[in-house]
Amino acid sequence: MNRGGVVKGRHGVAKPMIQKKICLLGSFAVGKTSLISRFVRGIFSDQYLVTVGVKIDSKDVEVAGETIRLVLWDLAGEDEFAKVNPAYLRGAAGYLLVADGTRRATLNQAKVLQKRVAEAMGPLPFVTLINKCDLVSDWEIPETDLQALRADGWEVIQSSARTGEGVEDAFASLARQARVKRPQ
Amino acid sequence: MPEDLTVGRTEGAPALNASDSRMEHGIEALLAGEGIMVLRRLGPKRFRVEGTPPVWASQVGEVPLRTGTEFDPAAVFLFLPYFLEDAGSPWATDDAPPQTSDIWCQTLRNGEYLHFTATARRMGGSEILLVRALGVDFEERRHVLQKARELALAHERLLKEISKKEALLHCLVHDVAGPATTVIQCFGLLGLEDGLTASARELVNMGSSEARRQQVLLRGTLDIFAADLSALEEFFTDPATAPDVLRSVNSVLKQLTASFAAKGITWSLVPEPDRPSPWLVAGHGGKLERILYNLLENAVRHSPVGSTVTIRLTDEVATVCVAIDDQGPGLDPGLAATLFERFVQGKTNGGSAGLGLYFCRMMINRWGGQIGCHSLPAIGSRFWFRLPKPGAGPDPTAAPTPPKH
Repeated sequence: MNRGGVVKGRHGVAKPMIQKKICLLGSFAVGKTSLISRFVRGIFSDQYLVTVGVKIDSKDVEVAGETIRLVLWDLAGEDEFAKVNPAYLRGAAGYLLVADGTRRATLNQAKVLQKRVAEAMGPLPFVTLINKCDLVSDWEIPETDLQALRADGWEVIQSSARTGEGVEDAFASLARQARVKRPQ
Repeated sequence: MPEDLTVGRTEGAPALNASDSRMEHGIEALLAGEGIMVLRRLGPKRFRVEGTPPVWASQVGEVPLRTGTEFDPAAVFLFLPYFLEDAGSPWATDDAPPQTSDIWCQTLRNGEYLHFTATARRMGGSEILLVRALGVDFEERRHVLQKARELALAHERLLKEISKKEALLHCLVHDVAGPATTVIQCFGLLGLEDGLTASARELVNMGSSEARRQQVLLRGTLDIFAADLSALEEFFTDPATAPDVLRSVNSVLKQLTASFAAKGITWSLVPEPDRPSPWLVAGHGGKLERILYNLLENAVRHSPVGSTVTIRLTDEVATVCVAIDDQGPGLDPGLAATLFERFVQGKTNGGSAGLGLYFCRMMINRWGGQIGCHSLPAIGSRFWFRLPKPGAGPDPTAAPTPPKH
């Protein structure tokens, strides 16, 4: 995890680094932890390891010439054993809504989650990731579904934690939106 | 945890004697051994490590946390600000109840990670924060959750695989059934021809009959693969939605009225006396009726003209047993054990594909029940099944045991 709480200003004067809390939401086993692992450490593992509670990581990114520390909250996947607590999003500058492109039901669950979050937290910037796009032969979500989401104003990116496709783009997009819309 | 824990001792408290001091060190070692770090709140964003820190304290921050280290725990444990804000005022008064956080996961400097919880409480006038690394018990619970999730994923994959195979089978059956229909129509037209010899007409009839049987078999095959899929799907164990087996029996008897009448067979329904309705069981109403239909239709098919089919319902505390007795020729002992397998037929198949009983077994097992059959010496045969009552749950260790009556 990256640490340190200051950056050098234009004249070499230390100033506090801007931090933005970003949450990852989605059904279980859609690849939330793997996306963070790819983004923060650049690694990927095929092994599925269940996340319990909250797992927090951070990474510094450059947005418009400014260094922002993204504090990434990987929330345990939702299923019949565990429900996501929307209160975890308090103070979040945005969130990534993750679905598994090889399991169509996870997109429906993502829509339900998004609604719950919107009701609990109000409008927050979010980016939807349809993950595992490297698994072409098992893909279950047709392009028309994604077009329908985009027509509703959702930003939808197909991603793969395995290959890295779309991962940087998604976090960068959210960082840009978070920086502009919800200063902490 | 004892209330006189010395970490809560305030300035000006009586000095400890040697025995108290040994106890204090013992408690500190115990807490450290349990993976608990004791922090005393000194002020906003300022806490001090009290007593012996646990082993993980050397790996969790940028610098090792030692006895007496003063730091802002929010900078080390990123989840803590959220918890402390949510916790309200656990330190406001002596009688304020302690607050414990949800679980969070933290990566250590060595790349490993640990799961933690925090408890904020006031003790002896001190504001205490206990940060605990979760140990073996937690890992076991996590392992169970991991296995449950893996099974859920495997179940999803299995359903998907079966769906693909079913689609393929439908295509194949459709391709085979098309020509069979043409053959039936051709035989039909041939049968209308004048001047057929008796033996030619017999051959036409035989061909037509066999082509029709082929169609029945194809339809049965499709049904059973559809049932394979549905057997993996939802059923009801909630009393509000669980089916009433007595009502299902009555419904099926009504559907089979003509079949009973055609052979002059009567039926006798014997629910347990004085047992009030409903007779709720785990399962799915529509499929339960199909099971009963298969078993009762089977009984009618093998019953002699003028005989009686008896249906008994027995309440067995946690389960309900349904037994269907006929007065037919009985079962070949060698066949009874395999009768519920796929494509197995009795002595006289009577045009069935040997899939009806397989369907019954598949569904009953899926709902946590048992099914079986045996001969009734000098009477006929008995087919029976037993289903758990809603909420009772199956006994996975129970061997199939025939009903006692």
